[in-house]
Amino acid sequence: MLLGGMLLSNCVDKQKNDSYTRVVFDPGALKFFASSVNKKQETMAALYGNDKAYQTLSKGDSISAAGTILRLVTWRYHDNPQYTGGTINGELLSVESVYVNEAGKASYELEASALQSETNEVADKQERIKYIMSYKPVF
Amino acid sequence: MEVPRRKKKRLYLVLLVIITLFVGLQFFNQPIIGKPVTGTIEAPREVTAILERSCYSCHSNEQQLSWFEQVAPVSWLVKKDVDRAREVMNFSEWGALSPAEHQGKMYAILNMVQAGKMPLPAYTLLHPAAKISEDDIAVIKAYTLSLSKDEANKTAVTLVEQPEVIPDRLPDTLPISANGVKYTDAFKDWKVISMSTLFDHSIRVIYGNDIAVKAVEEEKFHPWPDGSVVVKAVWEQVEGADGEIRAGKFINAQFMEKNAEKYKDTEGWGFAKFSGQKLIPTGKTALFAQQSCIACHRQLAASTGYLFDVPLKINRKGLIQKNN
Ligand code: HEC
Ligand code: HEC
Repeated sequence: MLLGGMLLSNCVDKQKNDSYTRVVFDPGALKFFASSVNKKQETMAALYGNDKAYQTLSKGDSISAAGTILRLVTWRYHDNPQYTGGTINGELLSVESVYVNEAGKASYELEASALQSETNEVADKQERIKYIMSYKPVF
Repeated sequence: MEVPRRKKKRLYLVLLVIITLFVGLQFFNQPIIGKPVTGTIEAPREVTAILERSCYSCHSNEQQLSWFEQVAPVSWLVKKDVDRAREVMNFSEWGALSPAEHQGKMYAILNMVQAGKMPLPAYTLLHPAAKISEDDIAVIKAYTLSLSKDEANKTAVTLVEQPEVIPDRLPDTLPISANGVKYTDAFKDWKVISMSTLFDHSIRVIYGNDIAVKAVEEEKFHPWPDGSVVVKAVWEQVEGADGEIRAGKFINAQFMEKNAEKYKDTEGWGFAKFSGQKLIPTGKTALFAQQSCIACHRQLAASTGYLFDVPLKINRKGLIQKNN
């Protein structure tokens, strides 16, 4: 697998302030494509992908380019503590990926999740693939 | 003991010189230029009462100055503050503002008074009556938030299929801001340091170059290293059928570029705003950044070195472990 596994570790002492940090997500070789805000769930998401994924999303046809990798990173958002009237992303909640194989078949993987830490099972993988593929690149 | 007469005479002489100098100073006393009131801010009386009491001395064309503020050299300091204050915000020239701009200014006001940055502390020292109370803040806040609710009801939900793409530019056609900040496409490949929304129904993505990302991770904010560049791209919000918000029309890309030497006048940060598909830079002269960017961003000087959207310090270290 390209990225190996990713884990959300839960074992750090919550009390110690210095165990908290300002996280910038590292997408590796992938590029930022698009973002979204979900007010009901109070989440924001950023979608990253490779060149093949760019072809897949910008063309928007039903055939996905083989080798497509898409990665959706979802965060909880908050009122911006530095400015009343704004919101900003906060806790990292999940990292989900879609891979398209040589045969053009898409598979789904939940790389990391704070939401479903018990079982790493997602109810409907096909739904998630469809959702992740629904984004259009902003560049 | 008696003061010898010669000494006494010299004392009078010194006093005379001081008085003459002081009177002389008054000839250099430039009065604050009187300007007409072209349209006062319109808001509920309880809001305008606070602004008139605490802010009008500086942010309006209706100064009511006490005698000692009209006497040089104090008057010089007062004039400097008033000129500067009127430049950034003038309650007597409010008529030209659109409802959206009025709302934006109200949020700016709310945030300034909440942070205790306005009125200027030096001013409240001499004018205790101008101090802003918790109740005053509550009044301003309630009114400001009510503007958002009005607006939310007004805005129609637009459904667009595609976000508007920020055009790529040929290297020799890159727009340059009047203060020397040059637009670059490179940010499209940078890491996303945060995402945000604002009361004005926009959706924003904030990118940082490698130097800036490292500064965030290591909290090198005082000062940020030279060469740090942060770009914020702003789009209108569009709402999908399921209520999810995505990017629609592209509004602008805003830059903050750190160079302590080059951007001395704006405390080391080069500000720039490039709007629309043509990426038209804001500001005819370099002064725009002093007039319309730094005063607001300075609120964050002590906490994050002038930036609003640094990632919150709420994720645990080692949250994401790559085990390649
Ligand atoms: C003694 C003069 C003085 C008084 C009184 C004063 N201000 Fe200011 N204000 C200034 C100056 C000077 C600036 C520009 C500061 C700078 O350049 O950093 C400013 C800047 C501001 C800004 C930033 C504008 C921007 O760029 O967005 C806001 C908002 C503001 N003042 C609000 C207020 C409010 C609200 C009050 C009353 C509660 C008030 N001020 C009272 C002098 C004053
Ligand atoms: C009234 C206050 C105010 C003024 C004036 C202002 N900004 Fe900001 N700026 C903000 C706030 C609040 C944010 C964070 C919210 C957001 O995402 O837009 C921000 C964010 C930014 C960012 C992203 C980096 C950061 O600080 O987090 C850039 C770049 C930026 N502004 C540039 C500018 C430029 C250029 C100007 C002048 C043309 C300007 N700003 C004027 C309030 C202001």
